[in-house]
Amino acid sequence: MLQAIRDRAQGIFAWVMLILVGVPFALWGIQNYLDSGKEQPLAVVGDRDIFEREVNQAYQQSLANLVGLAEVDDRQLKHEALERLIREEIIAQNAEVKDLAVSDSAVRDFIQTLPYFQTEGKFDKEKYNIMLSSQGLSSAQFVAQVRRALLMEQYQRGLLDSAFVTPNQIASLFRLRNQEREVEYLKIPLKKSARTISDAEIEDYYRKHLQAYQNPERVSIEYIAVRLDDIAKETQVTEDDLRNLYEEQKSGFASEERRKVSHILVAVDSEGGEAAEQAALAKINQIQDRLAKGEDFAKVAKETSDDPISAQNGGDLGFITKGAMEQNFADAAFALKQGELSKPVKTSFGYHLIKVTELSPAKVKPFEEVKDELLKTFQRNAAENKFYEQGQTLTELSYEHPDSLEPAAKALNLKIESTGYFTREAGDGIAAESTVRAAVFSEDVLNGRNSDPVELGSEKAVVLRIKDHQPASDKPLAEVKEDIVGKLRAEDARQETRKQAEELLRQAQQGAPLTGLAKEHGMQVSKESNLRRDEKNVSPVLTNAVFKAARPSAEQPVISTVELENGDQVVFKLIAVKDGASQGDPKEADAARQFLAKNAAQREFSSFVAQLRELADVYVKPEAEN
Amino acid sequence: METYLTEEERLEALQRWWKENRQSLILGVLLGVALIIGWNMWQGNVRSQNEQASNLYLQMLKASETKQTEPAIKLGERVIATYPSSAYADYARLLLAKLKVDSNDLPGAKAVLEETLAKTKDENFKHIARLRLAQVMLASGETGPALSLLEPLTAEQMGKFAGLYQELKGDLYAAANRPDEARRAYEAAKEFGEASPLLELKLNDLPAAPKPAGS
Repeated sequence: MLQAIRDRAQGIFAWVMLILVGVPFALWGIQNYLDSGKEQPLAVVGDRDIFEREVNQAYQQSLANLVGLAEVDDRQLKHEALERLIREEIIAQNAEVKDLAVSDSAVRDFIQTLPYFQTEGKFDKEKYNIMLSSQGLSSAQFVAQVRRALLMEQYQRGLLDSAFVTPNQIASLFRLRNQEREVEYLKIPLKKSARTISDAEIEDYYRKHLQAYQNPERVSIEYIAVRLDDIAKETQVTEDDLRNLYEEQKSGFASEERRKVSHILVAVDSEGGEAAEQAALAKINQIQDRLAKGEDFAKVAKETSDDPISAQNGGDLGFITKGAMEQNFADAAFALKQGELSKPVKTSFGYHLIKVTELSPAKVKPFEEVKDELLKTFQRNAAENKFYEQGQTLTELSYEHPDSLEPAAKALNLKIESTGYFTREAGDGIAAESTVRAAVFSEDVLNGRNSDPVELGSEKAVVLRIKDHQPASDKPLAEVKEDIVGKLRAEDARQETRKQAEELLRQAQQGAPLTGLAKEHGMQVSKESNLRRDEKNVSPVLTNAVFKAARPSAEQPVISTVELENGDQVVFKLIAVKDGASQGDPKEADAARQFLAKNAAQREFSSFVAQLRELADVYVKPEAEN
Repeated sequence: METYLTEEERLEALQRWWKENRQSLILGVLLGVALIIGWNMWQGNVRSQNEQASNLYLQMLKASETKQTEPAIKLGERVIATYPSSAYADYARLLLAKLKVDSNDLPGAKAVLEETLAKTKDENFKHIARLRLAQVMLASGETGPALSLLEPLTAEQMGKFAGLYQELKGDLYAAANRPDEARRAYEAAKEFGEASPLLELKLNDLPAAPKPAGS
């Protein structure tokens, strides 16, 4: 066979064959070389790779949603972002497998209802194109994204919207929630204990609970701080420096020429054509005549101007700059002298008569007026470079001499500052910064080395080292003795109360009525005939215990004890359970239905997705797990 | 194997080969083209069928959302009749069952859900249909048949739906006055997390457990 191919591998025919066969092979190879530098996906769902940047994007989104809330665990959040992407991808792929479809017209309709692409409530093609290109998306890509989103929505709604609640479930909600329980109970107040407690007992407790009696680990530090403000203050500035800066930044201190103008507008109906134009011109000429005869401009404006807002103020538009008005208007207004009246001026609104009432010429703030401002700017600019340099020196010297801050302090001519004691959790002054404390309690620094530079904002850099380190220590027994005695006595009291409660419970369970027991011990029996879950006048701990107790039956009464927050013990007997009415008023029933349906839908859907996830072909890179 | 000596001989052989085979070659190419066109048309047809089913189903969703129950039911029935093999038939059935429950037609809902369970090819849909079916049966007092629907499922078969299954089983046992089994099922449901807000209340509502021996 090979011989035959070789024999035939001559002439045009053979060459054509060779090329046809060879080209795909050649390209096949190239692809492998091109691929080698590509980033590895964090996860693979079916045939789709999920890359780190996508996860980061999703993570940023959830971070943005969480802004201002409690501190968030970054790793956790990232992991959740990845899981969310995986779930979304699984849903999307499943929707595809199921052949769900969204027609082009449905996609188009949806896009056209999005308010971002609308002007005055109508779809604006131009706005659409601008918005897309600002996002770096082509229309086809965007349509594909929308289609995918709509598919997923369909998929979800198919399950969520079809979840239902049977009348039975609503009835049982009402029955349970509005349940009332009849209960009688006696309360055993917390006993007092004045037992003398032996030293041996105290010491024993102390040994067993040493953890609770600790002075926390404390340190004090010394540090060098490079501060932008300090450098700025020391920067020498000459008058010439400031003059030069002033010349450079002059335009920033200049204000444009402004004029206060009044106007009278005769609007031209844009659809009226030549006739409307002529009518407006005639009217404005009339007005001009009236003004020429000496009538008051403000009064005439109020009467005749078609610009209702300025008309109320006698035509006054306030101060304007040249750039703010339409060209013709601006040209006319800035050519007038103060008090002079213009000829009719045509703009897109119609005809105007313009009068300048006040002038405010262009001016530049003089050097003296802005000198302080310039000084600050100059010092800051100069200091920024120096700050950077000093930061470098600080880094280098504190690294080269890890056992002392002296060389760096000497080189930078800075004082070594120091703090009082502080702990891992809190400190004053510079130690109030959590980044500083983190640096202090790092292994290297605790071992006596200089820290790496710690940046505090963009204007302060610090290198620090330990001055004194006090490891955590046990508080001496004498100091905590009182506390321990108190604790032991409290424990005694609780024990004693509990013991009595157990005894009473035993007797009650053997058939002794609570009233009898109470009388015997000089206690009171209380009774709640209709205890509800939300009862306010009974301790919630008791209510909870009563509702947690099983239903009593004739042969099996339910008697139990519970300890209240203050250590009192309660022995209670559950006499009866009265179910709530199974029907609330219709409004309440509707609210209950919605609540239950929503809840059921969510639980079904999350089980559904979890099951999909379980069975799907998902690979997650080991280090992205957890 | 044949060997050719000269260029002319080769050319001649080629021509001969072409004469012998051109008919079948041309036929083959035409057949291929026809196949490709046919496949594309078929695909297009499937897609447009799916899109039509999708549009109809979306109308149904909209009607259901705006509480137009009657039209929604009609639309649903049309989806099922017209596109019986598409996924939209499953979706339509599920929504139809909800509409029937909401209009107090429990037997109707039951029938639709039984049909879903029988017809859908998606295992997860089967779970949803089964759960909802048992819920409807519970509401119409058929606890026995509902239990025999759920009891045979193994833990593996229930998969991630186990929490939902166990809680529903608890409800069924409780309704059938079998409190001990109900308690076990509720306890199991609690372990799977995602408990309903009522689970704890339902658990506490059961009659006292018999005293465990030895305490």
